[in-house]
Amino acid sequence: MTQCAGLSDRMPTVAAGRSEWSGEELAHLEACPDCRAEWALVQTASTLGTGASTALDADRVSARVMARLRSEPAPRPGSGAAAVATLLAAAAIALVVWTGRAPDQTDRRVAPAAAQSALLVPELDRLSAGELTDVLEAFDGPLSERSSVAAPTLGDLSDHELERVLRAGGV
Amino acid sequence: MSAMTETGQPTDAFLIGAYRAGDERAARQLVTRHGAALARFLYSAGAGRSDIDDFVQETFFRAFRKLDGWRGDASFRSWLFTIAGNLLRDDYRRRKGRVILSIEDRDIADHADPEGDLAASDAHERMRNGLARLPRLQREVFLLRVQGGTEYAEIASALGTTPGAARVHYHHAVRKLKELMQ
Repeated sequence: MTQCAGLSDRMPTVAAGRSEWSGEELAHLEACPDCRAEWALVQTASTLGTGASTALDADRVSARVMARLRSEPAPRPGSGAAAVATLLAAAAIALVVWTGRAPDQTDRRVAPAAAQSALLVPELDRLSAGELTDVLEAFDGPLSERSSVAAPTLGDLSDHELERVLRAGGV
Repeated sequence: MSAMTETGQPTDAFLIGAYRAGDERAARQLVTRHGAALARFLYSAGAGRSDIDDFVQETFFRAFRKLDGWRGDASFRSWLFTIAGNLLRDDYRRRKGRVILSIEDRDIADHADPEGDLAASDAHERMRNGLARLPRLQREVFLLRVQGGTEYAEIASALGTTPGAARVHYHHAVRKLKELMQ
């Protein structure tokens, strides 16, 4: 390990006050502009946000967390996998409905209908008819208005749309 | 595994076990122990000052609800930082990628050295802007390493990567921050 690499590895510890530079290390820091620049960077980052941390009222935060934990019970054991499967299916449908097109337009033209639906959203197989209806009903409005060239992600959905997807998935 | 740290405090693992057995005071101790570091991490990673309490609360809420997901490979603090990072990412996506760093979010010092405080505040602001431009993994590895003094092996475990990759992310972050802060 070079002296620069050795110093770099020790910088967080020294910045936190858990260790000190030796005389040799200090001499290197004075002579090496790269290490000096990195040391300045680490010192700045190590003190960043101290105001935010001192402003935090840990008692109030923990009281609020405890109150929420008491009022919002944990999900039922065993329901997680089903919920995830339902959510995945809902998300897949949301993306297809929201873009108004299949991921691959060429395949869409030539693929048989049954194979096409299996290709698009395999998670559909895990949903009951009622769940499918719920998910589809969560999306109304003309598809063309939602069409987009760029493939969206769940992060592109509005809070309202996300909430409806989650509700439809029973999560 | 010992239930006490070298300073005679109960370990995180011990407190988590106590909370799971129904002791709410153990959870409060965990919030008190890690809340400030979590707030610093959130602020440094781009959270607005007025949102930090809510992010800290949500992070602990999710952590306590999913304690089964913490296997003890990474420290409890690193795991909290990972959850907080996910929350920030989701919030960032909801805002369609807009990063808002207002002047009220500056780290305001309260020392009797106005010139020094101004220089430090300016450096902090440039650091925060620089961090906001880094890819998420680079930013989180850098903050875990610099603010938590966390070893690469533990960072790797918390972020789902390898120690070697974590080291590379750290050095990329340092190089980019040097450029951005010049």
